[in-house]
Amino acid sequence: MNDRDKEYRVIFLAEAQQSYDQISTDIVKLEKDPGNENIVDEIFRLLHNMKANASTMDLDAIAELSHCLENVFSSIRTGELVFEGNKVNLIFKAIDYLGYLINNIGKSQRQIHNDELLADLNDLVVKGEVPAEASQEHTSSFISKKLHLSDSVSIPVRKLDDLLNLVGELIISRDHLINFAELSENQQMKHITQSLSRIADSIQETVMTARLVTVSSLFNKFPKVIRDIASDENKKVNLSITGTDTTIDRNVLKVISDIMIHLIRNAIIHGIEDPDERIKRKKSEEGKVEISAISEKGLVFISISDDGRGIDTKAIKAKAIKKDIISQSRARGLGERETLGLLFVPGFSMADKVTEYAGRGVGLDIVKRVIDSIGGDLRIESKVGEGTRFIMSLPISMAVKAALLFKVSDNNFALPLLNIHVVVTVSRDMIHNVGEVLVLEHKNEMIELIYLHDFLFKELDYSSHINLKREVMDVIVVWYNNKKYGLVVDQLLRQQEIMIKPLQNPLDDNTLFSGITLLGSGEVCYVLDVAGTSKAYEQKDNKVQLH
Amino acid sequence: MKHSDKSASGNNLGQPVRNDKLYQFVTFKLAGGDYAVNIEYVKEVTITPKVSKMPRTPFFIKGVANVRGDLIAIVDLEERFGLKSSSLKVKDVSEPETYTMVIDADTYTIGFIVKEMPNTLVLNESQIDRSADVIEKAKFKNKYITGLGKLGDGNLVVLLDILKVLSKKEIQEVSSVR
Repeated sequence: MNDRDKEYRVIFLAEAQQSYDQISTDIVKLEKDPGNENIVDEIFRLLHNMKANASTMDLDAIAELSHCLENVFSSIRTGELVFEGNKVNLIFKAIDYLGYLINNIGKSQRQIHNDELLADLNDLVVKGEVPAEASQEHTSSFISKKLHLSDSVSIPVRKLDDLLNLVGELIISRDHLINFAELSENQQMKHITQSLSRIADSIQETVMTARLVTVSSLFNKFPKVIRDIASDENKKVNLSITGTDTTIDRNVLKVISDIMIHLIRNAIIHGIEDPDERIKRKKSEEGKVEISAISEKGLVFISISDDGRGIDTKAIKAKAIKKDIISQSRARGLGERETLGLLFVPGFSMADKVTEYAGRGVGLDIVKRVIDSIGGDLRIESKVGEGTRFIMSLPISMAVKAALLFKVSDNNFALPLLNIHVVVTVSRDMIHNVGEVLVLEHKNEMIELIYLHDFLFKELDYSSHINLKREVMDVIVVWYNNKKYGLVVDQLLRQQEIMIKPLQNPLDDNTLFSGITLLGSGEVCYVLDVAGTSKAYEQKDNKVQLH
Repeated sequence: MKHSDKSASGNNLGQPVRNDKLYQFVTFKLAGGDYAVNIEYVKEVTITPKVSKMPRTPFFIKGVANVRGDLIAIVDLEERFGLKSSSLKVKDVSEPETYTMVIDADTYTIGFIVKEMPNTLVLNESQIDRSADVIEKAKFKNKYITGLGKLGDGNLVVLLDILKVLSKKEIQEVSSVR
């Protein structure tokens, strides 16, 4: 049995014990109040779930017994069978045996069908009464008198969220204390803060990992999804999935589940060609879809790629010009990568054929917006004729993020590391003013610069004429919509984990910032939102019409 | 400086009539006039802490401050109501003689800057005029004015519905007409 199976078994056991306890409680209630339909429904539902779960776990004895009991309660529901007299005893006996099986899940030699019991239960359903020869002892020899309590506790996610918020507060207080300890020359104080630091770190680590789930719970659903779409589209698709052991915050996984389905549909419908066409293009008849997850540096990268027709950037440009998303002159200057970024602009949809799964006007812009909302990023790589790859970079957790802190004028700002491509120090002569746009030449690329000082604090007629007071400047290069932007900051501070608090009324319609945080020094620090910032910048330029 | 003392001050009418409903307010001055909000929304009054300006917010939002570990938006009501020009720099806001009234609205917390220490006030129903005619004479649209309180010394105090002062719609309107 591999680790995954063990993990599932633990989960199943916890759920099964919970269900069994509930059934036991309900059945006692039902004995007192035999006509209560709600209780019957509840027991039926619990048995039904137990049957389904047990069969997926290959626990045949439990599945079979739950199945027979389910039939009994189905008859009670329809009124064919009345819960009374010796029938009650038989049902109690069966439920006791179910408990015995569940409590001995680990011992395969005890997972045996009690054929006599099953036969009696079947008779009960068929004949509506207990067979004469059925044993009538209420308690049976196989029931242990020991009470079992499950080793796992199920905790509402809400509680874990609260716990994580408290951890964030703890980290902030810890930073306060560290600052204070550094100022004081007291050795003992320093020791105490160091040990407190360690403890706070472990608590954070523990709470974070408690919220983590493996991506397999989501990825396991894909084979069927892909098979269904492929057969609807009359295409042949071969799926390979890697990195299913990668762990990620449950909430993040929940947010991206619909997105992934959407991207997979796109890959099959717009990416993979029909079998005949593939043969003509000297490709294998079966298209390949690869889904992979990998975690590094506190981020999770999930990519979805296909070896289909790829995305034709010329077609994108033509369509963007036709839809007035971009001017002709500007389109000429766009590189491959930035052109692919146009796919994320609202209202841009490449789908020409409306199928059940795609092209309903729900495009990549929605996908992009959802990923932005959790502070992630999405990039496209594509080669015509060879295929397309979508790469999502996601935070492992929603609330606590590693961030780079910097100053613009006297204020503190933070930028999640997730959005940062690279940090470079440049001298003035590397920056060019190209028709009102500041451009940095970096490794043979032209990167547009946003001079944050003016961009954030100049109330009106923001101009990109940089007040280059300094000879040397720090530039944070970020990705957005497949395009790089360079943010010129006044002063880089440091990297640290921050606990981001959401903005509340009346600040919450500010799109430039995703939240605020409190630094150890007690100062307020604004968390810059890359999506909002680059959108606002593009709007200023009126080159790309974003609403 | 929590307001534990909610006794009547400034209520010079003597004993209120029995069976008359009593209302408790916190009063404060804006540009020389008296205003009041229902006491149940006022969490505390504190000396204005350091406010850090948040870029690209409406002009009457001075920024965000750290009040006991809570990060709250700080609003200048005088600017909000157009009682003075918004030429104040953030630095002026943090002058020691200003106070911040921390208001607990239903879903968020916010701070209002006031120049003088606010007071408490008890009014009974008969001292509150809710007729629209009088309210029209006030400088505001009556959306966020619930009435006028009459004090014993003949002064009037404008009673505000603090939740409406900062409704989304209001803020957008004020921000757009600069």
